[in-house]
Amino acid sequence: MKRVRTIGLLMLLVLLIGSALVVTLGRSRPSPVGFQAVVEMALDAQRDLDQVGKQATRISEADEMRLGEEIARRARQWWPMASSDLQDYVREVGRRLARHVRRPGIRYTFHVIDDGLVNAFALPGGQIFLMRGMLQFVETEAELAAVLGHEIAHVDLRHCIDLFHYELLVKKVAGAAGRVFGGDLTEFVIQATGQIGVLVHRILTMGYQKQLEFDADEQGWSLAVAAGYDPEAAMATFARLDDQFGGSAAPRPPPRNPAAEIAGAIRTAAGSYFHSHPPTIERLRHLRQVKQANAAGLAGQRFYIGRWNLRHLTPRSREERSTSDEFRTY
Amino acid sequence: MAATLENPVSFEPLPGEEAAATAAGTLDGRPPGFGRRPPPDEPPPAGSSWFEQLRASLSGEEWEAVVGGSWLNKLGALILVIGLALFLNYSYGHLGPAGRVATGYAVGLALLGAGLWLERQERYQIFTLGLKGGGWAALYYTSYAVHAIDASRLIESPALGMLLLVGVAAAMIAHALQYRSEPMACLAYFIGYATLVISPRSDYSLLASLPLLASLLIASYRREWDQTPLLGLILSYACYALGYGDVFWRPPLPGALVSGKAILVVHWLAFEAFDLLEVARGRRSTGAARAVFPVNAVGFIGVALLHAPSGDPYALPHFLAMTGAGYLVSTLIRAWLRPPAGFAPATPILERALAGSYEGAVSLTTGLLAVALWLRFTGFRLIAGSLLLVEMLFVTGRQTRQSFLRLLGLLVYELGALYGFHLMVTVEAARELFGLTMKAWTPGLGLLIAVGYLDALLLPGEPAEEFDRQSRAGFSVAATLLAVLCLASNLRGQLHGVAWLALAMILLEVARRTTRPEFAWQAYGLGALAAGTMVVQNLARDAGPAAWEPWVALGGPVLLTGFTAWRLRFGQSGNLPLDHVPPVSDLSADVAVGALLGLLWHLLPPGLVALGWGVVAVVAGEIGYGWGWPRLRLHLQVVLALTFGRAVMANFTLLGDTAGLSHRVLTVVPLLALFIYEWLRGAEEASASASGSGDGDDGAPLAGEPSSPGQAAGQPYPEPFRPGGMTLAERDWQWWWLYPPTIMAAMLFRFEFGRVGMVTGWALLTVGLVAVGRRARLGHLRAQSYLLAVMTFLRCWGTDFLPPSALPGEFDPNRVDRLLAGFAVVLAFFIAQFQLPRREDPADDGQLYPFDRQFRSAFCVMGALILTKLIYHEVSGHALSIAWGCEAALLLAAGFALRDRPLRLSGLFLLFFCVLKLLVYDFANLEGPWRYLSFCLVGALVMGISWAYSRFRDKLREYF
Repeated sequence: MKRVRTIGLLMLLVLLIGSALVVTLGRSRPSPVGFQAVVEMALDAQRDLDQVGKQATRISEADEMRLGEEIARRARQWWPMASSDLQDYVREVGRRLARHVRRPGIRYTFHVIDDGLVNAFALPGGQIFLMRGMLQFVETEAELAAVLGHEIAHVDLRHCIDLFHYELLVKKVAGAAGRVFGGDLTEFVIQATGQIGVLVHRILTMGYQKQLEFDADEQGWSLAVAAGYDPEAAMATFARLDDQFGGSAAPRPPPRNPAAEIAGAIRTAAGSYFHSHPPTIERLRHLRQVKQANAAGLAGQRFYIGRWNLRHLTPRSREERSTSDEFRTY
Repeated sequence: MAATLENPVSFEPLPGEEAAATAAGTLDGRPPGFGRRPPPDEPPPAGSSWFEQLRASLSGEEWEAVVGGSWLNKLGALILVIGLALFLNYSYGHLGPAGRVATGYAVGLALLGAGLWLERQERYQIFTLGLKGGGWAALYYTSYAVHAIDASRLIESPALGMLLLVGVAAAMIAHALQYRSEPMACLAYFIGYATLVISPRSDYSLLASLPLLASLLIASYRREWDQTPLLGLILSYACYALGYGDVFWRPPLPGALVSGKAILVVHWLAFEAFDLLEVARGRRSTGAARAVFPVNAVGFIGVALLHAPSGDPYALPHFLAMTGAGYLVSTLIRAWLRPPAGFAPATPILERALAGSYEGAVSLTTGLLAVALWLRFTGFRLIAGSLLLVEMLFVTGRQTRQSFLRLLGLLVYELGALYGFHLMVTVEAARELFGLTMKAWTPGLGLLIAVGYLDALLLPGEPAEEFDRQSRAGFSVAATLLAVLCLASNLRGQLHGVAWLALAMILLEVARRTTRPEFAWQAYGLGALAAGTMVVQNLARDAGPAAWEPWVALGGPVLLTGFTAWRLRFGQSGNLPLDHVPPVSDLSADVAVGALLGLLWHLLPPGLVALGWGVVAVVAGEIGYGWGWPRLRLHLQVVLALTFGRAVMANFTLLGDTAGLSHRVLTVVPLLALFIYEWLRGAEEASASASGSGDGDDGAPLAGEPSSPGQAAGQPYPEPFRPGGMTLAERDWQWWWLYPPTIMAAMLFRFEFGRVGMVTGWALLTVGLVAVGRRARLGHLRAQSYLLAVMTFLRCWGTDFLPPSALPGEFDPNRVDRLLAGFAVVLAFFIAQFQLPRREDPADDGQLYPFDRQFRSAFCVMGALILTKLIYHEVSGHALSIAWGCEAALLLAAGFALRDRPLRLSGLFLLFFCVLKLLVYDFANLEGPWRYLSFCLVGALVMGISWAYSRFRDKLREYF
């Protein structure tokens, strides 16, 4: 027994020290040290539990589209819309992407707001809004596709409707209760209580909003690639966004003492909970990992870039340039 | 006890002296009845204080007589003499010098004659004192004025003038001696000194004080007066302080023949000689006699300091040094006259000093020399000089076995140490020595420290003589404080801890080897300070720029404290108290392990720290188990917990790879092995301990511990320090080692395969945990598997095995993976189900976890639900009902084949749901062949299943 134990001990020590040597000899990259892993595990579990409730009380696609159209109507009243040629161009590109979504029952509608802000957003039921500034920021149709893909993914992955999920549910339950039991007071009490619950739920689920952005980036990239657009376009867009808008601060030097490391870890974990969007540099890193994971599927394929198309606001579906600089082959 | 108005203070004679004094006459040595007022009619009550007695005596009629007869008499004589002096100096100008002198002598003789004539009558005894004293004073001053004062100068020769004065003084002394009257003599001397003060100063006036002094001391010595010399002492120095002080430093007049310094020195020497003679004769117990030595010193030095010149920086130190030398001679004489052996051992130092022993003189010598050094030197010279003085005292004290001298040495040393602290605060300059850059004061302080420790070590250990314990503590504590601050000033903050620890270890070694407990306490305090500093400076502040610093700052403490811990535990504890050994050993081991962890943090890349700590845990554990060292086993637990925490913080977000293997896997897998090994090792030890004594104590005595029960009755080592196997508490807490591997494995799957792809890993882990937990009868493992299964199910339910990048249709490269993952999870759940017992197993020894049976069904339900949902996503559309029907049939078939009721029930429920869907949804929505195909196939399945139930109805009872 003692001999077995001694052999086991030696093997363990060899494993521990050998692994350390192997890691030292390999390719290392600067890695964060903190509570990210724990936080992500906790947020995963929170999200799983949240999904159980949402799947059990799912909002129908018709209701979702109704809600989206209502909000979009107000948005259109609030913001000026861009010229029709821009609207047409974006719509054409967007529709090409929407062919590949998981929920084909959703009708996607694309709007271009006449505003110089570099931004885009999505509403439930497939209402996608793009600012004119974003259209001027992107340099190719593939990059536009990446941006639209990201917003479509928010709709397709139910991120948008999930924000209104319990609110709609409360409204429905309150209405039904009012009808069954009679009286506005009952409806008001249920709705008020429900709204408080919705608020609490939003605060509790705030932590994994960043994860939703990563998911939308990932599926948006897939949508653009599935539509035949350059897989590098999304990365190029994020890199330029990071350059121009300073999305990522200068990397902090690694802590040089354990106390500073712990303090930094606590600070980062506490602060990151309330961030709705991850830093651009992290999104860029994540997209690169996605591309690397799908490298086998990309091999040998040719993808469209569409620099000319964007410049001339002519969608690829109408004219696809055959010059070599408009394609990227893997 | 004597109490008179003239001498109202009472003195307690020393034992043995009272009889001698009584034999000679009275307690104060005066002849009976002389100089005393008649006894009161009603004597004050015995035992009351002199003040009460005075008040009682003044409360009657007699106070008036006292004031009028005695006090006014003396006051009148004084005023008369002063008036005479003024007369001789300034009065009417029509009298020549001869007339003035004649007048003075006439007045003096008249007063003296009146006094002599009246003293024959008893009632004028007191009154005549003033007359006689005033007469003598007048004669003395007139004789002084005959030469010294211009207005009455008849004698030009100073020698002749002085002879005249000496003659008068001699007559006065003779007269005083004849009467044996101390009050009279006091009055006369007072008047004599007063005349000196009011006279113009000159060589002659200085010299005139000498006969006065000589007559006073001789008379006092002869008559054994104790107040007269004290009065003379005070008057002499008061005279100098008021009118002649500056002549000490310069001649009284330009071209003066007589040195004021010499005259003052003569005074000092005379009084010192008087005191020595008194000592030689056997000191009396009266306070006045005792005060001669200190008052002489204070007077002499005080008068000198009062007029010390400011221009010459060396004058004062030289004076103090010379005075110190003088007192050194006095010390030697006193030591010879009153050897310390002549005193009872318990006699207090102050009592001995007042009785004329050498202690007072040597203290004064030391003080004067020390102050002289401070005034004369600075920097290294002052430190060296102080240390020279220290060593002189110390060595002399050691050779003569006089602990008081060693104590004096300590006091001087402390002064030197204070100067060292002053230098540290005020001097910023640096210097090069032997190629090392250090603070300029470092060599001097190094010398101080070395001497302090050397003297502390040269002093005898316990049991110590009087003062030696304090001296040892004083030397060593001061040296330690100096060393601590010296190291702190010369080293970077990160190195303070190691430097102080090294010093603490040396101190501890001294305490271990010698009987000097103060070294041990210093070592403990310094060790604690060093450990705290090491933590703050190295774990909460950045390391220095040099790569070697962590090695020294943290590696050094590892070796030092590790060695100490080992030595105290397994070596000889030496002279350390037994109850000190366990905490010191354990705390040293704590510091060693803590410093090692800190060192590894600094040296290793972030991703490898956990591995390094893991190795530390293994080593600590092996030592703890192998050598029966409970503290090391505790360290194993703590370091394992830290390793786990560190891995969670750094290793799951680790980027990079080696040969295609991610660094996450490469670092986490060994840690998993570590935890598993330690659990197995702990289980083996726990088993061995349980089969042994059961309390983890093999009863073997430790090194240095008393082996016999009789010896052990005093200070046995406390229980946790005794060697042995695992204690019950350790065994009770061992379960927690089972959790980190599972958590790390689950996290590894999560971060290696992503939020969705990891479910396969979790499912396989679930099966593994159930299997091991069931076979090894480890409820904790099974509990982990249940929790993991629920989490896996929720993840599968929420994500449907679909990563965000997965899209339906042509671009779905991961579809096969997804299907495989789904089926793997389902299969894993069903396997897990069959790992668990159908019912309570008698062979399970009652250890079956309460949830086991419930989770047997839960695994089945979860597997069926996931399979159903997977089919829903993959076969969504027309053929869904058929697919679900097939699934239900499969579940039922498996349930029959495996004799498993949960499987059968799951199949039945799904079948009912399928029928419901057919009737409610498919009937309305399906079109064409899919509608009747669904109905037909599902109907056939239902029929077949119904047949099976009918056919195997009897068997079902057995299956359940």
